Amino acid sequence: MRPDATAGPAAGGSAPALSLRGLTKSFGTKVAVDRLDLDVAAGRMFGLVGPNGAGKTTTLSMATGLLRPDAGTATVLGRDVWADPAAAKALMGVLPDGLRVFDRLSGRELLTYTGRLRGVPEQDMVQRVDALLSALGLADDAATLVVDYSAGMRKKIGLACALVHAPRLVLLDEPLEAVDPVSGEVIRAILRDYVAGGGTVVLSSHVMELVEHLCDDVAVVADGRVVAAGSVEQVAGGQSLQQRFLDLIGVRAVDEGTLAWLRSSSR
Amino acid sequence: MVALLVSLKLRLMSNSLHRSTSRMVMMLIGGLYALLAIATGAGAMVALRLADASLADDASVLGFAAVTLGWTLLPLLVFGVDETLDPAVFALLPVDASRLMPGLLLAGLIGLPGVATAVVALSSVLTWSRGGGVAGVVAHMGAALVAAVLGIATCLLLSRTLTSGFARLLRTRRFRDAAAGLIALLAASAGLTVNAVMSRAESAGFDQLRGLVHTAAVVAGWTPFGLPWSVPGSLATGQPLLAVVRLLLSLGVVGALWLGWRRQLDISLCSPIDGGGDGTAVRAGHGVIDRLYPPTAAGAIAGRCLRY
Repeated sequence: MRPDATAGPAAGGSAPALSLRGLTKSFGTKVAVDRLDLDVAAGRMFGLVGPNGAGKTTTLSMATGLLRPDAGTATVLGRDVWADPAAAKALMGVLPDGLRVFDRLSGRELLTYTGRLRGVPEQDMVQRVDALLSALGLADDAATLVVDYSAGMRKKIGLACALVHAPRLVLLDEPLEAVDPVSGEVIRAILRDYVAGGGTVVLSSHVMELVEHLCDDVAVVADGRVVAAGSVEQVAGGQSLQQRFLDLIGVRAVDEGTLAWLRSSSR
Repeated sequence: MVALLVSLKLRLMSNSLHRSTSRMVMMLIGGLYALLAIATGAGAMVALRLADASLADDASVLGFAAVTLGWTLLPLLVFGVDETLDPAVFALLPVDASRLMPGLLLAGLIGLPGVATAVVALSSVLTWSRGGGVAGVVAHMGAALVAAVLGIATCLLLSRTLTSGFARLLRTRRFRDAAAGLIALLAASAGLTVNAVMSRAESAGFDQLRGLVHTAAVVAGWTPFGLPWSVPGSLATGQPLLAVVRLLLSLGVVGALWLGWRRQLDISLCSPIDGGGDGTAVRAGHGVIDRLYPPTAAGAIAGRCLRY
């Protein structure tokens, strides 16, 4: 599903599709995201990487109007997310991590109702829903209730819901987690095609190889701050992204002996 | 938007019915109960047409105040959060509370309790088809209709506002345990109350009993639960000014609940994810419990049971 024809790469000019300024969020005494700045250029595939608990999901939630930041602003396609959350949500498609959906609907019904609630013209609906279901390999399960879907199928129907209104920006939290290799390749192809058509993708992932091969730009987040950002080549700096990531984060080696009891010989 | 949300609610209900036979059976049994409730309730309302205005007023105010109280408490205690149209699922969509609310409210009416309440409430229009002349009858029935609509809105809004206000609390297991205990206590005390009232009623004369009912109805009529339902009765007992005051007050209650619900909806549309814990980790050393049981598998299970 390509973005609307009016949304060519030139439409936004050089203005970033997503711009985060000084985003801060604490849970109790723990600072999850700490004055984070980030710009995502329009028409790029952007990867957000970081270790567990680095604040990736919190950052994406604040950028998508799902979690009110303590301080800072999030701007989507020139619109302040927290000044008017509903208007900003209309501009983007989001695949969140573990948010509830209407799981007592079938895949086709969920996609159709999401489209209707997002104001997709009714005459386009059947064609869009069919195209998304068959592209993502869900056509055979279109009549199955989403509550009976597997984790990978839920990811795929979530992705379809994020794309059904043809947004110019999509934000995806771990889009390829739990997805089988064939569907993973299909999703990568869909996303590449979407970016080629002028759309912008922001995705988070733990898998460095995926980000290295799929994304144009990357930002490494640790302890709620961006520690490196730029094109994949810039950030990697001649190394593999995996190695560069480990250098940036600082690897905590497992102490020799602490897990010695795990070895089968010790018992 | 209203039609869309209503059709969504119907679709969700029919899917969940088709998914499991036990739900279908429960729905059928529930449907029979609802029919019985409608027949009893609407029958009583029609019968009250023949009673004098004061008795009809007292009986309908008490009955409907109890129904409204039920709408307030039952979802909190028994059903928890209505999960078919949880506002959190709209969080990703470009909608704000004001656009969702009319549809969500109407969708709340869909289902057995909603239909039963609506039918019985609307049958109260017949109770109040009295008064002198065509103009009088129309005025009474009109007041009853307005009151019934306000009353139904109060029921729905009370249940919505309280369930979403307490949604976070309701999801905790500790609260569900406490609620189960509270229900048992209420059921037991209800039985005792009925016994006490019956034994008193046997000794008391009819007039004394009638006075008691009237006092109860007057008190209930000034609470938010009874306020809208007492409007037509005030008119019929020749107190039009009082009826207007009550009408304005019930409008105020509905308005306040509407605003409160909108506030909560706006919050839950923008923070559907619970804050990931507030950083208070469970205290690591449950020393006493841990020492209470031997360090075996059975000991671990016993310790766990005690800890919760």
